Amino acid sequence: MSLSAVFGSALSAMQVNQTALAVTSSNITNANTPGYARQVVHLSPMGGGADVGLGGVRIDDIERVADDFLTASARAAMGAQERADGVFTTLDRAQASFGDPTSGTSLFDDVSTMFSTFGLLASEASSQSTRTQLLSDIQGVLDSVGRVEQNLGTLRRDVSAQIDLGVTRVNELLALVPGLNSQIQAANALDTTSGAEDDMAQVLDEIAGLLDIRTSRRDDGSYEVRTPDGQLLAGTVSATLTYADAGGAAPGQAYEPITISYPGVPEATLDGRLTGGLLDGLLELRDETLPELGLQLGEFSAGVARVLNRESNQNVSFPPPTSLTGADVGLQGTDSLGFSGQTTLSLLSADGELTQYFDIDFDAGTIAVDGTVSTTTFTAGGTGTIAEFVTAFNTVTGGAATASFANGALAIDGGTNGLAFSQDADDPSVRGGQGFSEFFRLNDILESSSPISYTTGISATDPHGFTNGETITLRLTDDNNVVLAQPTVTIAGTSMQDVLNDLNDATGGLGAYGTFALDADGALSFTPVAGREDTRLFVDNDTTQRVGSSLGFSGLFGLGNGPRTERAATLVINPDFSSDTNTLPLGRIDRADASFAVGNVVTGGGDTAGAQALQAAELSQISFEAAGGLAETTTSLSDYAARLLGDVGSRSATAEREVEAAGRLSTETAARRASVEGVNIDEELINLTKYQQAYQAASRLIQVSQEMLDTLLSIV
Amino acid sequence: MRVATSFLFTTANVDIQNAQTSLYKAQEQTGSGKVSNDLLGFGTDIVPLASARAFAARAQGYDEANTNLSVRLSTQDVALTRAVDAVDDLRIMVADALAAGSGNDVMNTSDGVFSSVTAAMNTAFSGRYVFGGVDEKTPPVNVNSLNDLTGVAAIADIFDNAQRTATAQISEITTVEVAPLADDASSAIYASLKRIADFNVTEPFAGDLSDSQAAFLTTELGQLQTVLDGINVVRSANGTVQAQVEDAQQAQQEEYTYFSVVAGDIENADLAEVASNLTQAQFQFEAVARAYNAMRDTTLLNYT
Repeated sequence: MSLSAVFGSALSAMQVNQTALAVTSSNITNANTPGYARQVVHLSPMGGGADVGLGGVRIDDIERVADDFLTASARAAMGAQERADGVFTTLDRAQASFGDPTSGTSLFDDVSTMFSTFGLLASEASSQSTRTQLLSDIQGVLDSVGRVEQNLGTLRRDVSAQIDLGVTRVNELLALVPGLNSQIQAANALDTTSGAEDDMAQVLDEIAGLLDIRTSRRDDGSYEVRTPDGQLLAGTVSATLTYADAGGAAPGQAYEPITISYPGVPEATLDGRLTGGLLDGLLELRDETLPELGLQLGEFSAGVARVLNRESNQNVSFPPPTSLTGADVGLQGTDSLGFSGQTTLSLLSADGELTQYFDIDFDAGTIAVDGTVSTTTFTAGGTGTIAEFVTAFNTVTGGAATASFANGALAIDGGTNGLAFSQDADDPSVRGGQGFSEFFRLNDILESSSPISYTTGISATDPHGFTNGETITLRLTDDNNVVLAQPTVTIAGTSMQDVLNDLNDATGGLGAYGTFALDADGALSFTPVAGREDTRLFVDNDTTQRVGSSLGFSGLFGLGNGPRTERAATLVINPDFSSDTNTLPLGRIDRADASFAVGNVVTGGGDTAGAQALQAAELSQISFEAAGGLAETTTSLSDYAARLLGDVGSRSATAEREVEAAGRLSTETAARRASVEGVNIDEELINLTKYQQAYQAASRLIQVSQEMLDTLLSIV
Repeated sequence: MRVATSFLFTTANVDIQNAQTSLYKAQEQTGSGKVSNDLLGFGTDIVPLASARAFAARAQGYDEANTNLSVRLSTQDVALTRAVDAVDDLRIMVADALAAGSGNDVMNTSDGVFSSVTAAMNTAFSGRYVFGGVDEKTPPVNVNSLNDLTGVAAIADIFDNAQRTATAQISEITTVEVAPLADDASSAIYASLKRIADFNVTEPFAGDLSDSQAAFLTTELGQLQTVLDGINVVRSANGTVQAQVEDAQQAQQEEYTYFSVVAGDIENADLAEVASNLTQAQFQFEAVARAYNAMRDTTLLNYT
């Protein structure tokens, strides 16, 4: 080998080691840079093949050390962790709003306190201070329920806003992919690496935290990003995700699925393609978890109202009220009466003396006056109309008590007579699971602007009561928010069955996906066909209105999540009580007592039987419909409250455990990935020394070669 | 196996955070004495906790109401005892009058008995007439003097109480009649007093007894024993209700204690366990800190 070859060889060594030092310096500098993968220089000797006759060293390539499998595992674990964190953070806030269960001030404790105060009143009903205390306790329950309902609404809006931000960020990140791909392709063509690889890793890591992705590399080194089921998100161009934030996020609000628009490919939806990532968790919170908690709370608050009102509608205040005004229950005079069993209306003087009483037998269609059956009757079996009953009632009472039915509400005016309803002990009146006074809400403790219960007692043969031509637009989606059907059903025909038939129509209604039906209590249900159990029903628009009432079809039957969730926020204490606590109904007429006879004083300030019943109502069994994660059940209010708290507590605890598990997995996979990709400073320090010494040795070689050349030249 | 330098520090950070979290949780439990202050901390244990607290609250509620009721029943007992003593005085007076053959004390004593019995029947507790039944705002007896009895056609006319008794639920399964109605308790007494007053109008009691007066008083003496027995039965019935309430309260207090303990077992932190957790958390933190220190020194940077 000639001296010039030595020079060339040494020069190549200096250049190569200089480059290697630069790579080492890049590794050290980026030791803490997220997404940076260490680079390794691969050297090979020159002198073979095309390099015959030459010496020296060359760089084959500068490799970015990354393991695609470990990277994919780490990203999946990151996505799971982000999902678990997102879900837990929101659930933690939700469960905190129920209060401290050990402090005596939680929602549950407020309910217990209220019933205890009923107990105090049961021994001293005329105590004004205790009555005032009762109103405060009831308001405490309503405030607790209202606060939780409001928090859940706020959380749902926050979750929707987070989804919006997440989608915006995903779009920003996806938009970077094509540019980075170009740089990667260029570097790959030169058998080298570029910082674009690390930038791409960072971008993909962040996207993976938001939604789980699958990445693949093409032969030219560029990346393709897809959803887990293969929908293209980015490559040479990028997709745009679109999220329509409904803004108000009201209960029962339907959301459009997030759409994926990729150039040259038909638009697709993102919901349902996700198995991890923050967005997946947020969608579950928005569409399932938070609505379920809202429904449970709504069912619980309805239970509170039903328990109190069921008793108060059998109670009487002292002095007895001279009029009873019910709420709009959505019925018309032409609707069937629908009651069975018996109830008694007592007329009372201001001193509690029984002046007259009317025993109403809905099965027989008769009204007895002071024990003597009147010749004026109404249709037996409750199959006549409400209007017919009102007419018969007014004829029999002869003006002592006058009933009227207008705008969906029943009212009874006693003139100067006090009024009190009581149920027959053996054969109580009932329609839709509620007694006569209870059904028409004549003497409620808790009032609301919309129905508390959806057991309407309406049968399919009843007139539908709407105006033909009114419409209701339903939306049925799968559990990925993809709209399966969105029919607008127009009211036609005459009966409720006609409306059901239209709703169940296979093309004009939802008949292809399930069946609407009324049960024996007049409650409407939608039963999905087999295989479609995960569908969700929404009411997009409802222009229907029962003639004379303010209630439309969806409000009357509690269709969709909206009415059933909002019940929690609509309850108020009967405003009469605040201005005069004597109007609290804490007495109860005992129809079966030996003292029940015209001329006897049968109620008074010392009548606490109503308060006793209200106290005992905490344990009485009532029916709860299926709501959220809680199944349909018949149990006490106290027990249902415990189950509600238990469900919230266990969801939160499960979410916390998932955070811990996902965190451990994410740490483990990140460790394994880092063990391959990460920079070890000590290792780089050794490389630093290695390449530095090699560079120094090569420079000595040049120096020696120079001296040898000088010697040679001096000889010549 | 390689280890990335930055990951070493990331792991150390996570370990320190975890150790601090354990310390914080143990500290919080020590300070509050509770396992947790939210539903999350109890998980599914919230169901038995809520149920136990509800049972305890219910028992306490009944106990508080029964305390009020007890005071009322005691007041009623005092009133009924007064009525019993008054009837006994009347009976003794009649016997003495027959023995002495003198009617001088008859009307004085009868006046006194009338006042005592009427005061007893019109007893009020916290402004409420206790023997009025469900009508607690109207005085049950509407006559003011023995002489007024001579003007009424029937004894029932002197009573304004309700016909329905007041009740109270002293436990989840027991309802009691709180007090007898005034007319049920005292009609017989007033009937006897009216007979005496009416007889006095016809043949005033003064000085030696006449044969007809003696015969009347002899008959009345026999009836007064029945009247006395009757009012004694009313008083002992009140006593029975008092005993029932007392028994109910004892059971409720025991129930309250029991369920408070059950709730406490769930919600109260086991302080010995918490102290142990706290120590363990401290050890954990120290161990992590030491490991971090050792790791920080284990680098070639210190040797080059």
